[in-house]
Amino acid sequence: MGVWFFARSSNIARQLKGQVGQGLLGIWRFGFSFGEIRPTHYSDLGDSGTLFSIRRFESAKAQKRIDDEEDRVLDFPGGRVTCNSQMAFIPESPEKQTLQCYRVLDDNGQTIVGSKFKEINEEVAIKMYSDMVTLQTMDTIFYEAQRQGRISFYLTSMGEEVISIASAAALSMDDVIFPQYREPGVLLWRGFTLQEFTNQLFGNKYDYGKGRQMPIHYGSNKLNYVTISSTIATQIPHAVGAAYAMKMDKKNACAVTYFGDGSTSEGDFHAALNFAAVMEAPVIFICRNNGWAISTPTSEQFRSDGIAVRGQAYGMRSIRVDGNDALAIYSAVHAAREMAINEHRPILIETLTYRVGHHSTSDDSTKYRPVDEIDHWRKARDPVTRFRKWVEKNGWWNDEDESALRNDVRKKVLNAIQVAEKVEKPPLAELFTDVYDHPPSNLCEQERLLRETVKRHPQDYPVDVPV
Amino acid sequence: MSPWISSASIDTVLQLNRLSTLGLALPVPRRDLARAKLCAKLSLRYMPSCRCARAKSPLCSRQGEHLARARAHLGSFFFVPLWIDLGISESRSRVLRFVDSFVRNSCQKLDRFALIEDVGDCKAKDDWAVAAAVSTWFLWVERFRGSCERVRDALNSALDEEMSADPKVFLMGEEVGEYQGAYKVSKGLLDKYGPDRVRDTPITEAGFTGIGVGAAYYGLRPVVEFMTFNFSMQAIDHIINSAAKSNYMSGGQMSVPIVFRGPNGAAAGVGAQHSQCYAAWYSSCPGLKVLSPYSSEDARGLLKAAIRDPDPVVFLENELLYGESFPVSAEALDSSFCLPIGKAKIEREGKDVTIVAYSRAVGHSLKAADILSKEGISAEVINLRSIRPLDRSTINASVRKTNRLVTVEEGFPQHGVGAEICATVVEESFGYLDAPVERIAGADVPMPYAPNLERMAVPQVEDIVRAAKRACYRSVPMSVTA
Repeated sequence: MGVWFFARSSNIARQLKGQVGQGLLGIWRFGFSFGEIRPTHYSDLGDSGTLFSIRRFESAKAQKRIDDEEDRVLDFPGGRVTCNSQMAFIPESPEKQTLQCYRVLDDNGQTIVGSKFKEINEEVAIKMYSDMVTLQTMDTIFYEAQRQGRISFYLTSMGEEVISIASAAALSMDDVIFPQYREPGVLLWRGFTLQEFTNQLFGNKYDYGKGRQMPIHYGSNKLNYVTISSTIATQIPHAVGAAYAMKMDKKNACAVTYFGDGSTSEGDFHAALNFAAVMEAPVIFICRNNGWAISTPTSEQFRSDGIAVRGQAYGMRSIRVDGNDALAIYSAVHAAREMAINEHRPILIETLTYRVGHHSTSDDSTKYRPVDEIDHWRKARDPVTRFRKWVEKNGWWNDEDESALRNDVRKKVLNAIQVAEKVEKPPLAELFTDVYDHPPSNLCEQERLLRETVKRHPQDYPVDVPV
Repeated sequence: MSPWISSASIDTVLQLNRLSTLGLALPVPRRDLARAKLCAKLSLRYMPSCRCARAKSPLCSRQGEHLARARAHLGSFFFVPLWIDLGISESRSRVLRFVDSFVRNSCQKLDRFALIEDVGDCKAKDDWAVAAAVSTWFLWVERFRGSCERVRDALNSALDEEMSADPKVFLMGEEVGEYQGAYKVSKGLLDKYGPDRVRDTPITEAGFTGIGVGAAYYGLRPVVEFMTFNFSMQAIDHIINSAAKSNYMSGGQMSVPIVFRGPNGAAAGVGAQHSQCYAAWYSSCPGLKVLSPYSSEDARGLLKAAIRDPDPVVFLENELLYGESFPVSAEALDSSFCLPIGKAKIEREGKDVTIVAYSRAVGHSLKAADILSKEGISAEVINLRSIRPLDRSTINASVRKTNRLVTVEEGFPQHGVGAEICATVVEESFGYLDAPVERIAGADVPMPYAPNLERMAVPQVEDIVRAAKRACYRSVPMSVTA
């Protein structure tokens, strides 16, 4: 807020007199060292932490030393910087190449020679793969259920299954998840059952959200998975707040938040990254850069080299990862978690991927992108197939396992739908509970009046609302 | 200012250097009467000279007059005369210092303290008696420390006590730490609780509000300070879409125990973007509780209630009230003190017209009630305290008694708090109304900066007086209407 200073100077100064004077002095104290120029050579500066600001400004390659005279350190309140008599703007993008992307598995599911990654054992790998298949099956069937009008809305994870599942596998259950809406894979990994998913989608009385949220807005206290918010990017600062709380509690855990490339245009994204850096909060930001924010391509969303480069601008470590490579995601998240918790620092991970499905059931993406492009990503670049190849090469999986799993999951999902559809909808009382911890008198009165009216005119009210 | 504190009496006290004895009548709530009488007895026993002076003083009759008027004004208070001998230089200067600040800070603003001057000519009989008297006095000072507490200090002590009682409570906002709060509400808290719990933040309302909500999701109890509520507009998404709705949307899985607080409404000379009242905005959103204190006791009791509450609370303070002092009862000084959310307070009982107000408008309404009483109109003044939940029953009960209603707020008229009060009275007590409801609100324009225009845009005492008279079908002189 630019206006805060105005408020301070006009009102508070009047009221607080001497104290304000002291406060202002404190703020302006920096100014007194303005003119101090100490000639220091780069080599003299050593490797101490105080040089952080210098390194930051050094990133402009255009700053070339012309002679010794220019090789000075200027001591500004905003940072100790070297100066340069040549006017040089930082280029808008890296001169040679864009930021590289960390990758472990090639398209054939082979580990790239010399790649560094965190080993995964058979049990974990099979659970990861099974969850990916489950997620694919759920998406196919629930999408159809929406088309049949059995639920009002759905949103698939197609093409991005491995991001949520591989990252979840690298986290511990104590880590708190602040998801957007394309991360049901995290819930699956943590043990949310198909019936629990289905209860939410159908908004029946067993839904933990008591039928109050539109489909796919899952949430589970037990699994440390914060209820999804429809408003874009609000979860990012929330994650920072929770991370700060964990740091204060000295928890051996971090907060993890997911969001898409479109979310990075929201003010919340910028506010959250800046706060996380300043508050040294143990939080992992995972951006799914899938190229499309509904119909807006990244080229119309931002002009930076993706998302990862922005981490440095906020003073945090960041990495760009192949979002279709489960091993790379698992390894990067694992390392990020260690750093976040042990060093109390935020980490930004940009996963590059492609949204194979439509944005949601309210969207038809063939209207704004070529069908060929979608098909290419669906068939040639499918991340689940790639991971399957790697699991198979390890001798942990075969075709028999595959068909058994797919049949089994399909049956379970269909069964869950049948069960969820038969379960009663939430009772009338749930219309009024949880607005507050204890219902205030006006809500109690409304509920009483409504019950009386329903009882008086039963023929005018639907029978599926248990009174 | 009530009539029985004359400016002359205050001037006299300020010139205490010339006095040797000071007489004060302290208002004491009935429940403290026994203790008060004991203190008074002690003070008189140890100050025979004072007793003597009292008897001899030529001003005694005036003093009695003052007391009688004060009693009439504050029926529920008992007045204990207390006498201090200022004969010894050291205690004299301490007492003087106290009285000086007492008068400067509170009496000018208070109408609940009777201050009675007396120029006695007595001298202390012995040091011991004076020491005893002074200690008795300081016992009272201590006991009544809160009674001259400024709203700012009341908020500060409430924050301090709640932070000390619950390690999950922490304060966050711009300038709350090193600078001790833009309005010094968080004074001393950084030193006491450290930078982890008194957190200075970058200047991003959306950032620290979102972070506060996230911390509340995870079990902390953040108190988020906005430098003014005008700036909360940059963070309103987190207040409405995140804080207010999460408990409901998650089916009760995620409570959000958070307080958003800061000055709200018009200050003085700070223009449109620092002078808006957001009571109507936030109170239209289910899931939020909206509180707006008037006095120090309100500020203390409601802020403590807000911090302890499991739901998100928007706590609307007023910049112009921060420096005002109000009496605070001994009960309210207790660290366990807490006011109920959703309950209005009848600040002054009356039978002819009900005036409903909140925040600074309560002060205006009380002054208006004073003026009205001289004209034979007995006004009942209701201090809402809680805008949401709204205490409809207290409002309706009062209107059913007085049959007339005036609402006062500093916010805009359309869809305002007054509009909601009108609606509830029309719905529930229509048949009891003897006159159209009078709704007084800020002018329907962004706040102008120029002082003359600003005054026109904010409800004034005379506006309330005029409206109340109209409601009572009294003639309103043209000069007043103009």
